[in-house]
Amino acid sequence: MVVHLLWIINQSGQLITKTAFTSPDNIGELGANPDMQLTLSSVLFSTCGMSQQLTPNADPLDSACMTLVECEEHNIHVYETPTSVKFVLFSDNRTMECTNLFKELHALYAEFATKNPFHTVDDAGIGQPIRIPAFTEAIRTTVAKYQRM
Amino acid sequence: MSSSAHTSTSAAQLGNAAFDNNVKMSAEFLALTYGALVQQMVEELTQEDAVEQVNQQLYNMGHRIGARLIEEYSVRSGAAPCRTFSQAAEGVALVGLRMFLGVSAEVAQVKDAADTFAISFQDNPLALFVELPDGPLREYLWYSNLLCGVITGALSLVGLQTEARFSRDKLRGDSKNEIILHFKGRERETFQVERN
Repeated sequence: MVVHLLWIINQSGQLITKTAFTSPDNIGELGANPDMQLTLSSVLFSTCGMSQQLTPNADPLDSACMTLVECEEHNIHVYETPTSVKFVLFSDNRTMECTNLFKELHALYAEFATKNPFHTVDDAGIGQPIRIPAFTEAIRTTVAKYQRM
Repeated sequence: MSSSAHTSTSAAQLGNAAFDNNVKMSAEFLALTYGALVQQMVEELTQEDAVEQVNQQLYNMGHRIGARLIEEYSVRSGAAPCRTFSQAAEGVALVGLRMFLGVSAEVAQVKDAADTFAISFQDNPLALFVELPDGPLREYLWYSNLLCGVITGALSLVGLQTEARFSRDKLRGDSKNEIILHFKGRERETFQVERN
């Protein structure tokens, strides 16, 4: 598994964490133009909502949003928490699932972000980027366990 | 009945497992900290009988706690996302309260109301050592109202709009503690596509 990039998108579609793990060259335009990540993460947020609504299953509430987008050079993995926070990982095109990594990242988010009383939890539509160095370091340590070139 | 009993049993088992796996600390320290909080709120009242303000402050504070605690619950409880109000009430009573407070609670649907549940419990770790003085406090204060805020705050983050209020309190002389949990509806923030 090679993980290039992590996004955390909050309930309102705001990008609250972006952490890169490999050289920007590996993710094309997203690496060359980091501001594009704000725009594209919003597009992904909307696409997730649409994938849930347009599901052929009877009740959209019973359907998870999309979990894997396969592209030529990368796979995009999406994990939605019960609180509607979305974790997104960009990986190599051979990695087909990374549930265990997502669960560890979710535990870190609970531990470092939501329990910090000065981190704004989005319960009124307002969110803020997570700027907690210990959280960023914990993310890097956790992803490093899974990285295999 | 058997399927309901099975569900209750598995939820209770989840609650016990989550409690066993949780970090433990002094129950007395928690109770005394909470007591100091309530006492300071009462002292800061400009009018002695405006006790409802303390209830509201405790509720608001609890709401903020619940909005964060739900993430811990979803990571560590092992409980599946709830599909029905009944499952959510069970998650609160048998898993959440057990996991975070060590409380053994019971949950029952209120008669003739599919969206209202009574959560009752005997022991309340927030109210150790507490005797309410006679007067406005004994009459109007819901000492553990923080719990109602925690419950509604947590459920709001998973898209369930609820009201929670104490209906019985042993500190007021009732035989048990009871919270009435009323579900007002579901509200998921997702992209909406009109269906015609």
